[in-house]
Amino acid sequence: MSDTSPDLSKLSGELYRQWEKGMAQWWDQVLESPAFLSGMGQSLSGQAQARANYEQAVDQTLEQLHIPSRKDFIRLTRVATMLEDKLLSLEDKLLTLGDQLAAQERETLLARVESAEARIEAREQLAALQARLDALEGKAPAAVSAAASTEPAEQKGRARRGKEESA
Amino acid sequence: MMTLIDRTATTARYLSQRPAERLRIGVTPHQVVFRQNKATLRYFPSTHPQGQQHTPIFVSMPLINKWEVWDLLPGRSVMEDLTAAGVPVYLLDWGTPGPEDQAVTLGKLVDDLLVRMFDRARRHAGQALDAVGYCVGGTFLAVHLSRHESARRVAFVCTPIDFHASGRLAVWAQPSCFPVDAAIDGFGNYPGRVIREAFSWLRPEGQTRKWVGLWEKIEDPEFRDLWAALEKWNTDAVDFPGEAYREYVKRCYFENTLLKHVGDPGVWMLDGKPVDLQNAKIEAHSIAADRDHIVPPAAAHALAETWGGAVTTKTVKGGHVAIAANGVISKSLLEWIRR
Repeated sequence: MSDTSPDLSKLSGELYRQWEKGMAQWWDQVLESPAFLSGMGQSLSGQAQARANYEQAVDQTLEQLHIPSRKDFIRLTRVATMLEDKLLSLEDKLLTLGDQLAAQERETLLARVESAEARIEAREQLAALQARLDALEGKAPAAVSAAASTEPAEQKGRARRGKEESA
Repeated sequence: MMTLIDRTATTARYLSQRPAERLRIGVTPHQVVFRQNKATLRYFPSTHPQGQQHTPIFVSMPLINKWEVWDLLPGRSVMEDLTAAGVPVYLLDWGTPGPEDQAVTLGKLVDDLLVRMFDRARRHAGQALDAVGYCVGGTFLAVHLSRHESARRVAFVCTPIDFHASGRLAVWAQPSCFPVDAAIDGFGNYPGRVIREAFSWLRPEGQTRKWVGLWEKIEDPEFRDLWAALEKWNTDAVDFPGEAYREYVKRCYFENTLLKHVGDPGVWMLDGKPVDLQNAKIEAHSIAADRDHIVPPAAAHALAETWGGAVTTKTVKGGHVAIAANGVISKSLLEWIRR
């Protein structure tokens, strides 16, 4: 009786497989037969009814003894569960509010950043304008003196043209 | 080589040590960034040496199981693979509802909780997110994305859309044999153990295969750890909020409304607003596994018929849960993320 005996081992394996196959076929017929299905349903109903009767009897006994019954505990735990649910619903709302606030804060922040950027840009433009103005002002004295040197000749010319027109 | 007796004895010894109870799953480092009631938003930061390399993803896990199926063990973790590739992950762990949650409606989960979870993840990430949904977590994500613009694009992993193509599950989940009203009225929340049992009976031979597989590979420590991790995850079933389950079963399994559009008879009205996946305009990618007996490829890829945006599909090799443990989901998601 050793596994080293390949024939015996093979034979026992084959015997098992054959038995398993036969049993499976037999079970297939039994487990889907109307009689089995009906019996299974009745058994389940019976078990459920027995359980309900037992619990009712225990509850009644405990009530008569003025001891909190299973029903009382179930009622209490159900209330606790409902309270938890209500608290979690509140937490949901708070989280949603938090999300909305965060979104608004983000929008406000973006608007403030945009406005700051616009102000920086305006300041830079102003600075550039100022620089150009300064540059223009630097050139201005030279232009004024140049203008002053050309002015008498122009005035003489204008006076001469006036005399000629009047003559 | 072990003898048959040795192998059996070793397997028995291993199981007697209760390996699933000793193992820790979901150990990839992460932090909780938000909680509401039992739901938790878990953040797995990028562990890439150069930090974040891709858009963060938001993952909607199924409500019927623990999220750790995507973080089973080091080296067997979708979370580890994604974060190592530079993808920060925000994972929605729906948590384990208590009796006080039986009145939670599907509308509350899709239009309220998912909206808030996406919002908190987006705030934490500081950018838009991509979305990923796994199994029924993907179904709810699809409904959510058809009503809210929460993500840039989405990938659905083994997500049922055409519920009538869900194989045996579709046969079982019929109004004639599945008394969903009686079950919810009696149980309050739909029990996770009933869902787990139903899944295991979808393929009964899988139960024997599981034990035979362990027996055959008992010498392989890596296989043993993975087996124990899957066993731990599988036994840790999660209840489904009652009213949400009632609506889910009726609209999805009974009426198959995700294939209907506004104007069609019997369109799903969720909190007074129609559910129409055609309203979703973002790009979607559907990943399905070829041996998935919970969500066969036909049930998942039906997305292409009903989604409003562009849809691409990919079928990978493996089963519904196996592809989470063997790196196939990570690989497929990374391909999609890098696109």
